[in-house]
Amino acid sequence: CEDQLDIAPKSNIELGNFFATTEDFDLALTGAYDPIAVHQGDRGFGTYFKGLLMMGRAGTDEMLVNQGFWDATGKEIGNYTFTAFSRIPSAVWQMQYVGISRCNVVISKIKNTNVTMPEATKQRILGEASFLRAFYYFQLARYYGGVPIITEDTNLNEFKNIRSSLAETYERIINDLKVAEANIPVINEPGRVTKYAAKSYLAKVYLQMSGEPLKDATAASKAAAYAKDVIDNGPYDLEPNYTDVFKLDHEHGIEYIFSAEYIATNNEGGEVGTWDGPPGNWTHTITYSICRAMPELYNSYEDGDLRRDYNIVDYVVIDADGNTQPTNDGFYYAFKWRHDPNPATRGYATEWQSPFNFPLTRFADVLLIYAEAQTRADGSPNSDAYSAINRVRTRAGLGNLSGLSGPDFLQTVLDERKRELCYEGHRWADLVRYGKLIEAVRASSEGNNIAAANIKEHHVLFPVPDREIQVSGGDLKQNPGY
Amino acid sequence: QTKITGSVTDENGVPLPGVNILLQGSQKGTVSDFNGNYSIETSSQGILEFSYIGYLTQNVQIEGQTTINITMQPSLESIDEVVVIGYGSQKRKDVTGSVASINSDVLEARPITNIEQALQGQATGLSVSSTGGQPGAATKMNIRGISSVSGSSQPLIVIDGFPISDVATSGGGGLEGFSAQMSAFSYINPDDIASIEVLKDASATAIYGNRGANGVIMITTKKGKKTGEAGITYSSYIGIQEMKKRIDVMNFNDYTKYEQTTNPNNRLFTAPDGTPYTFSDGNAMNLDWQDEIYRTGMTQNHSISLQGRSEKTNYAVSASYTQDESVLIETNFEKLTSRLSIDHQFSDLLTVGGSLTYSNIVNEGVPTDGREGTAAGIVIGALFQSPFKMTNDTQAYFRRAGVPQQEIDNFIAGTLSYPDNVAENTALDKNINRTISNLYADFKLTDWLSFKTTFGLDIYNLKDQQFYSTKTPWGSLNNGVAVAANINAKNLLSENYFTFSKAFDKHRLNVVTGFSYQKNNNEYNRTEGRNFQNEILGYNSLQGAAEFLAQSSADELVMQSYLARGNYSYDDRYLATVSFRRDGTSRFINNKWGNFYSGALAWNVHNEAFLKDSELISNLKLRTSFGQVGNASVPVQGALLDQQFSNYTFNGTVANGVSPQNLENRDLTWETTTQINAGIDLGLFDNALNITADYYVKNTTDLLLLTPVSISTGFSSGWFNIGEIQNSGFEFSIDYALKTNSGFAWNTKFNLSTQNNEIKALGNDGEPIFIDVNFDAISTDEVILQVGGSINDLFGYKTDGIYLPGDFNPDGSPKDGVPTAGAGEQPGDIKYLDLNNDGAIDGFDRSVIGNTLPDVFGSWSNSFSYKGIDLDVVLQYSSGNDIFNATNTRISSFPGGGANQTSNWLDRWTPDNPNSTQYARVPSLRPADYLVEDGSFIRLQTVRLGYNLPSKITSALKIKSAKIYVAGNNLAVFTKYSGYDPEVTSNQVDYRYPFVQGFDYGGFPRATTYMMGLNVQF
Repeated sequence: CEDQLDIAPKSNIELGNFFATTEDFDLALTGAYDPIAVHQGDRGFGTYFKGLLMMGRAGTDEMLVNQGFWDATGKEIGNYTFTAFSRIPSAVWQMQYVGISRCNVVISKIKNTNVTMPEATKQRILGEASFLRAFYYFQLARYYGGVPIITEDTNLNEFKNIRSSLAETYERIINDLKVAEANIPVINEPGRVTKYAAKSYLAKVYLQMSGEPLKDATAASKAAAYAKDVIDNGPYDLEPNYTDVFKLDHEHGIEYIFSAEYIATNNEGGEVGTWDGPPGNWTHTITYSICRAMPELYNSYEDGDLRRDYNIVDYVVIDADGNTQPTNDGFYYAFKWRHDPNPATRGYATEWQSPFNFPLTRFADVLLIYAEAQTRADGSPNSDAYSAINRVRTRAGLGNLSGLSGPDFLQTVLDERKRELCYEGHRWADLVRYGKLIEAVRASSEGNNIAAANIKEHHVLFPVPDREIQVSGGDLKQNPGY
Repeated sequence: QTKITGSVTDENGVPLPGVNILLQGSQKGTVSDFNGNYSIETSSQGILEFSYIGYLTQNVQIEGQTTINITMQPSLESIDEVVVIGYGSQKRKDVTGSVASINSDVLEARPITNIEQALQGQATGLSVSSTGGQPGAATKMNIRGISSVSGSSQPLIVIDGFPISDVATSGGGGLEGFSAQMSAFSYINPDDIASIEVLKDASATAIYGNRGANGVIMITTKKGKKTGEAGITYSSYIGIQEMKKRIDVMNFNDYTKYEQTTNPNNRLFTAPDGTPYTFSDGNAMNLDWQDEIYRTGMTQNHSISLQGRSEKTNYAVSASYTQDESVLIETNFEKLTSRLSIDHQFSDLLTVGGSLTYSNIVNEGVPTDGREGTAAGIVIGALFQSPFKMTNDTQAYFRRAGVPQQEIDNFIAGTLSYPDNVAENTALDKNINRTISNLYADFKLTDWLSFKTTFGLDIYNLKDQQFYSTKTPWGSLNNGVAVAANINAKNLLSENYFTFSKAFDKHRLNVVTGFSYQKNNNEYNRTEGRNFQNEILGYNSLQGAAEFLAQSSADELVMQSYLARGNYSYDDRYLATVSFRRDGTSRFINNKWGNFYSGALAWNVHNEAFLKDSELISNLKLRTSFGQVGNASVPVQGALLDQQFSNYTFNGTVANGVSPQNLENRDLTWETTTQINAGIDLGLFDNALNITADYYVKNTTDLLLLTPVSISTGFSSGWFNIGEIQNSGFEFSIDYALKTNSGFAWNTKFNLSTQNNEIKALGNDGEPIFIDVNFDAISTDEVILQVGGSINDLFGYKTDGIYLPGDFNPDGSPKDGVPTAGAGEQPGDIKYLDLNNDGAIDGFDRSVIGNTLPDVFGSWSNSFSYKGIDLDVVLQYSSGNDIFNATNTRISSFPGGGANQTSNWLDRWTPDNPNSTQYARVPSLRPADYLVEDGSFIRLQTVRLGYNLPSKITSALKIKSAKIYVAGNNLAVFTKYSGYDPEVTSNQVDYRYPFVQGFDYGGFPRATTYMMGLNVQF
């Protein structure tokens, strides 16, 4: 009668029987995408649902966190008061590793599977999982430096929680991205990573490696080569109109290359657009106004730049027809993603059902990556670099650049990236790569004097969660300054 | 020879038939008749002895009297009292373990709406704390401290031998998860209860094995008392309830000043050019929202029961109705119970019986505890809502002050969150049906051997329905939200055991051995609808919603046990108990079975020759026990690798994903609690004065702990058997019964308990575990579990007064050596202590800032009676327990938004008020010592004045007895705590978890109840 105590679970799936069909692999692969965007419970603090709408954006010269907002969680990021105990940096660390462990399972199982499936399917699954693992490690490398590397070959029972060097971490990322590049098809289901998305990320990662703090001397030319491949051969291009880029029906159009995907449902919706936006009329804007634009960003636009008055507003939408009214409070509001002002046609009602995808890289990013990488590699811009940045400027209604020195050109690209890609989560890493984060934040005291007063040299890296250091018994070392 | 006549009544003046009356030193005796009258032929001198089971024996000098009327007094701690223990009962004198009894006298003396109230303070070692004043709200109970970190610390409740399983009383979803859970005792009619036993030490609880790890509360229901007699009891009370306490928040004028000072962008109070508006007679518009949400509540109860007994059959039938319209608007709680219980002696060999209990609870609630903005509960909402209502008059008033209508309209858009509006337009309705049935057959095989087989079935159904209309903030966001959830639970129990009982010479032996099987099935489903085209029908018409979210789950759990227990006594002097239990559970994979032993010894010293004739000492017993119990309180899937859906979006549609959610631990096994107990029972003056004292030490090893693991594994924690906790405590109770010949009687009972707990080991490397209690405004851990600490330690920052102008440079930046949290601190702001002196306020500056466990707690109850009038007074006390006042993070941090705050702001430090120590702002909210308050209290829990109608009237009315009373509950609380009530527990985290005790975050406050009632026996 002791058999009575062996009861199979009813509401969950036992691992023992899993990975028996191609569908099982796709289910697990989908689960590996999930930590990019998931928002259930506290997990959103580590994804593009919440935490990564703070880290990378706030605490720069483009965005601040509304000081009047009651919750300290985001203000810590924007004001440089975060510590090794803070929720967002801890959750971001955690969610990247959740993603990595899911990728590890898929990669290990697909490599050794007996399930009969077309070779292309097998390649796609291996390639997508490899891309995602690289993606998660890249987040860690950018925000925390070198991290413990766990792959499908790591024996968790013998695992010591010791950080690899930043170079080793990047090497791991490049290896995985190359597997992805080789195995993923050019055309994939919208929302999934594609071959040229993997190449875009190779460009993006190499570019980051070429700057501070790694300063890999060979990386810039590789970044330029991958970016050029995407520009010349990839299926992506600029949207003709800047404002169309951020519209719902263009999310799987020609410009977005890889995004955190959301749709307007309760569990798969996001808060993209909701955290930003002007206050004062919830019904027609559904915006929290937690993340606000900096006056320094506004002032950095040239006259005639079509992007300025789209990206930054001083009015609030007051009716279903989209009519507006000035806020008259002297603040600058970020308004890149705009919810349909008409609740009846919007199709969703809550702040966490926002259907906007968060672009992780798009074609304009790749153009500017090329311009920067080529200049970093060769010391001065060539005509392709000018043509890349001028494509971006032309769309913004600005004239062409020419005749700049290498350093001037690099500074111009950095500024152009801010004006073009503001609030898209690039600014913090861009400033770090240029070694200008601290200088830029200190220079932005009109917008955020608290951050300007608080930022210190060590803030170019986020702290490793203190909990993780404790659990490791001291094997894991904290970043300096925390 | 004299003929003496008289009548015998009980303490309520009810005639007492069957009382033995004996002339001491002779064979002469008689018994009182049905009307309590007697007559006896005896000499005019001598002593008459009146005795009756359950009552104190009385000796009366005859001294020539011919009429002697006697009022019998119940024996409170009679040594002949029968004590219900697991799988049987024992006489009190034979008990070796630590068992506290609460008999129906105590229950009847306290007009109670729930049983927890009756238990509160009545048994040493049993800590009972309310989770708030919501009708039917669950109570946090623990017996002898918290020995398990992960699971429930609630004791097992056993009714007439049938364990009642814990059931979920919330279907989740919406805001409902933040409302109080319901008590397991709600399903019982307090009037059905004859006695309650609290089994505390391992020797007493071991027989319940895994289920007894947190102690056991045994409830015995009323049965027919005397052969050939049936009695009907009707009892009823009706009462009103009040919430007297108000928290001092700012009025209109003060709030205006607050907004103009701290929030000049609020265009309702300050013009765009920075000029503050001037309001004439501002307090004309003032509104204290607390007055809007608290009302005079009403409670009533009617209960009728019939108990009777024939030669072979014993039966009891009862029904009750309870209603509680609490002090909070839009709430109502109604309960119906019925119960049938029957025992029949079929033959000399076989007795069969069973009982059927049905209860129905309908609860209409409002969101109380809760989160920020759209999800704020109304208790906290009433405190921070701006102190006025934007009526037409108020609008005109604002316009007269110069405020543009546009700004008034903007404000009105936010008035959905008015607490009265939230209460009126939110439905949180629960409907619970529970049917508990059990049957038994008892075979008396021989004089000394019997076999009992029992079968029980507990069917539980919860319908949890919620609706948030578009008139509420939450509903408006979602265009109406409806939730319909169901929980169905089936619990099946079969127990079969032999009882061997034999006395030979001076030896008595009782052995129980048997087998128990229990199976739980739980099913859960929930559908949530949003976006209603038409919301008139609310949750009753989910098809009106345009969007749906559905969830369902099911699980099954099986437990099997083999049990054996032996009780041995020699000459009523030396007593011994040994027990063994082998438990198996389906929760574990590789280690399903655990073996647990216990033993106890006791010595009835008063039966020794040298004390037998003592006039002073009537009872002296020394007890000691040692034993182990196991605990398997992990989630049903705790040991398994749990793969769950983790979806993502491709091509604009949801794609299913599946991912592992936890670490697997196939070797997970029983947590073991080893307890040592030593105790003494002392009775003096014929047991008029009784003292019981116990000391215990409980060690829990192989602690089942959701242990943090390296996140690099992809998981943050896993279930392991790691850690050790020690609980220890001292328990003392004393009672005294005074009787005078004038008929005045006074019974008093005082008890106290202490509890200590210490974490001895935790995790692999002993690293601390932090727990975030999830108050929104504080996004960090408030509780620390660490080696050497206590489970109830609060963790956070210490404060160091306030910043003063001298701390800052002329440009406003802090001077060197003045630590800040970088939150833009200014003079007057609260200052945290830089504990590690590194110049910054960060996580390394935290330390233990309080402990929510009381040093000592208990009660003092008194009962006075004189000629049919009786007065009961019960006081409860607790000392040394801290409270984390999380409510103050929302109403006393002065952040400068459009939310009202406490009046403390008026006394804040300003350059003009430089001597004030009141902080002006808390710019960086953290768990800190200023939020920790002393929660010690003395509560006047019950005062009841009763009057027993004299027999002249009762016989004229043809009733046996009648009693009327007036009573008050929770009449006064003496405490330094600034919140509504020192006994409140937040529902932010599952209430059963040990560490949420003493957290106050907008919980449902307790009311004062005044009631009058009636008990009639026919």
